[in-house]
Amino acid sequence: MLEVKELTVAVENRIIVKRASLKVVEGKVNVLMGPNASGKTTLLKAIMGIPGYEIVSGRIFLNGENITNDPPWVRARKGICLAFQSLPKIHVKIKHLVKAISEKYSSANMVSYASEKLYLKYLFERSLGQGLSGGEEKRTELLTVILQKPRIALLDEPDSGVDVESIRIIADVVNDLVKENVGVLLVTHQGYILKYLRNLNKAYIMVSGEIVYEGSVEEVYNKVLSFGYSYFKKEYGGKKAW
Amino acid sequence: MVEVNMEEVVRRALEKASTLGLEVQRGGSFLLDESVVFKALSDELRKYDILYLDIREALDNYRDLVVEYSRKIGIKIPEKVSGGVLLYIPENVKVRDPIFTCFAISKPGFTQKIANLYVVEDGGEAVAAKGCLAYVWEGAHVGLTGVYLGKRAKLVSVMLHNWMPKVAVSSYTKVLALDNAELYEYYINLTSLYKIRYLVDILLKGEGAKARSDMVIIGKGSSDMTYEVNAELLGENSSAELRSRILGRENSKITSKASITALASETRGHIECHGLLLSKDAKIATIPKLHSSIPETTLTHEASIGRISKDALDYLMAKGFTEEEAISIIVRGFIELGLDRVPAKLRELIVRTIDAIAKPGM
Repeated sequence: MLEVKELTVAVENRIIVKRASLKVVEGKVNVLMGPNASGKTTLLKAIMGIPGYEIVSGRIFLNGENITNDPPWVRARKGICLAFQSLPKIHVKIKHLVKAISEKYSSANMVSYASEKLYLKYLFERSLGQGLSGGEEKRTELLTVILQKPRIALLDEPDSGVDVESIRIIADVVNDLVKENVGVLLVTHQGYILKYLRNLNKAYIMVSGEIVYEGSVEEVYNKVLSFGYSYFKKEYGGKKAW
Repeated sequence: MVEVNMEEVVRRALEKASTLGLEVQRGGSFLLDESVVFKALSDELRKYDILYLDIREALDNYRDLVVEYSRKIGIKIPEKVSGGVLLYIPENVKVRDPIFTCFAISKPGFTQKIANLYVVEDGGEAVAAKGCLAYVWEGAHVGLTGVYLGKRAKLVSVMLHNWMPKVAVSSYTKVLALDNAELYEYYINLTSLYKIRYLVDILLKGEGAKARSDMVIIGKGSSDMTYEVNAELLGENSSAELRSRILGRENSKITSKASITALASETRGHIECHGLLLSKDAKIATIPKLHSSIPETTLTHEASIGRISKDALDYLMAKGFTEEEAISIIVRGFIELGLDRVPAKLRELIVRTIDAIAKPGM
């Protein structure tokens, strides 16, 4: 289990996330929702240990082990992975990235199956983040997630900017991860993907850098659909990032 | 049309060399100094009317041919050289496997003067794999190469430089390509050197002639490096694509110039130069130039110089790679250029080379 306790995160000396606490349970999909610029991506990057996302206070535990000060590659090797919202532009062919990751995690035997499942084989000669559509980028990221054989997967908006078919493919892969007992923390804006997911656990609402509400995914999602994020902002937060 | 089976040619040449008491590993490069091997290979190729000779022997025995083609190309092969080759591929003879040539500086302080002449007649094909290296710390290499490509002729030229820190290099290549001829040039260097001036002029004289040049330039140590590739589109519907990837490490200083001049209609040209600085003391300059007074031409260029972005490093570190490993992956991807065009039998060598360059700590 991943446990985030009272985490406050600053970027360039500005506090973006304040005292966020959440749990990611293995074998379940845990959901983090919130409006634009509410701090969801910042929280994920801080959990991953990305340089520049400074943890001002609070702690992160992976199965009871304090990993708050571990560098990102150590966290990754301990079983946490992050699917980025968008890919950086790098002159690295996808096939080379896939090879490097699969060698690192001894998952070469999974490449063929996973890339076929995600309809990605045809992209292997292309470079990362260059000329890929939204769906292709998200599916590429999910391929890297599978090959990392994670215990905890942080998925940053895998459903944004993609077509309906891709959402189904992505949901299918998330369900497979969960079946393998991976704990998923899924960030989503509009939540359309949720209707395709199984083993949903808890949803958290983040507003202005603070987790202001938590409940079952069904309850929280229905409230978001009925009242919008402004409801949570008005009722529980509303402050600007501090 | 005659297809030459180079594996068979090399096998016979090595057999002949070994009967003369010389042990040679297959798949290795042929040093000109290894005159027995070179002679054996030359004899085997002669059976297909291919001339593969030391340029000094060519000047002695095939002077008219050397003079005629040098004049066509617009160069003069000097009388006094330390070495070099004449490769002459007759009309419609196709050699699709690489013919290796290697020039080595093995005496300290030696100035090596090399002259090469490559002639591929109408409809002929050849793959020339050239290695230039130094076994000693200091020396100089002066190279002149002329390339003549007849109508529909094809030449793939792969050059690998592996010098030493106090070696100075001056190299000039001039190419003449006639109707529908195709040239593909691939260049990569591995090591640091004192100074290099490397100039290539490509004259695409014939209708539909094509040239593509891919250069991977690795600046290391205090190397002072200037590369210049110029293509002139003289024939209608001719085209050129000049691409380079430049890596600036340590105190190296690299200038890469590329120009395309369109002088005929329906021509196309593209220049692409990208530089990656891996050290605060390295310097890269890329200078792309396009010239045209012909409306029916399309010339484009793209150029960039930068450092490895934080986003790229963050991304790879989040995938489980240390910073050093992440840099290595990025460098490896950056310098992977043109491998799809390099013949399969040379690709493995190039892949090993770029893997070695990208290795952490290199």
